[in-house]
Amino acid sequence: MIKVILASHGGFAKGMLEAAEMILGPQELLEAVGLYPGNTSEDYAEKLDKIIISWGDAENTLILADLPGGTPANMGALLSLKKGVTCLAGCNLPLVLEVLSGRKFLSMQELTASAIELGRESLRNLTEELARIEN
Amino acid sequence: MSIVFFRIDDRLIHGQVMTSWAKVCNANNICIVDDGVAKDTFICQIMKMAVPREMSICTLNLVDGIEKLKNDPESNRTIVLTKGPENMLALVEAGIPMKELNVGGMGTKPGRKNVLRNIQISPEEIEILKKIAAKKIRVFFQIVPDDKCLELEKI
Repeated sequence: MIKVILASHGGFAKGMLEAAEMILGPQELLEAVGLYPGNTSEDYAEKLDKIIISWGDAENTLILADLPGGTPANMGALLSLKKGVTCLAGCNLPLVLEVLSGRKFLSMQELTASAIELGRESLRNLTEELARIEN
Repeated sequence: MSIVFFRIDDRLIHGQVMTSWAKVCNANNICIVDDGVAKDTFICQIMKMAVPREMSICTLNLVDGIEKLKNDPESNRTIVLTKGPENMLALVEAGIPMKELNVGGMGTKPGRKNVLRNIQISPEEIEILKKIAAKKIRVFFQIVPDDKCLELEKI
């Protein structure tokens, strides 16, 4: 099973974890790590690394980061270079749900491909869609 | 023009923070001066990935950084980035022309106390900034361009 770390600025990761468990029920092998004011990049990378080490399965560990180019994503990418985990950035809740629903059955490659596709597709302007239905 | 902005930020290049300063000073190049970063090929790769697409980047140790910045081409509009105040003082003392220095991000370390949202600093580091300010350089704390700004003499 793919192990998942949600990585974000502030409490977004914890919030996504809470939302995901509200929808899918309690999850195992899922952690949320927030970057808070005062944290250095090194401190943050160490927090991620500690979880990776405790799970001891880097190649089946997936870091889902919030903002491409931001420190959580940068440190996730750093650990993908150093430890061989996989890191995606630009995550939204539909993507996270897709990952959590498919992680028992899919390989890392299949899982990340389908999650990215779903994450992109799920950005929708509902107001415009409704206007189209009304007409 | 050559160097358009000097910034201290221990998280270096990160997302919209750097993008927003690059826009404000119309920069096209970022030069990170840090011995540790320069020899860590992994971090160098991450910084290359994190830099806004239209900008070039170099990561150099202090000695090479001084050399490079002394001969920075006129066509460059460079942002100089260091993790702490020590290298900024070294650049000034090496004769790199500086009018303003932005302190934008320093995380929690033993001996540091909070001055602004993302900025913690130790008394020793404040002394270094004062040495820089003594060279008629404006030293100010500001995280992003739209944020409030705090002058060194006010802390």
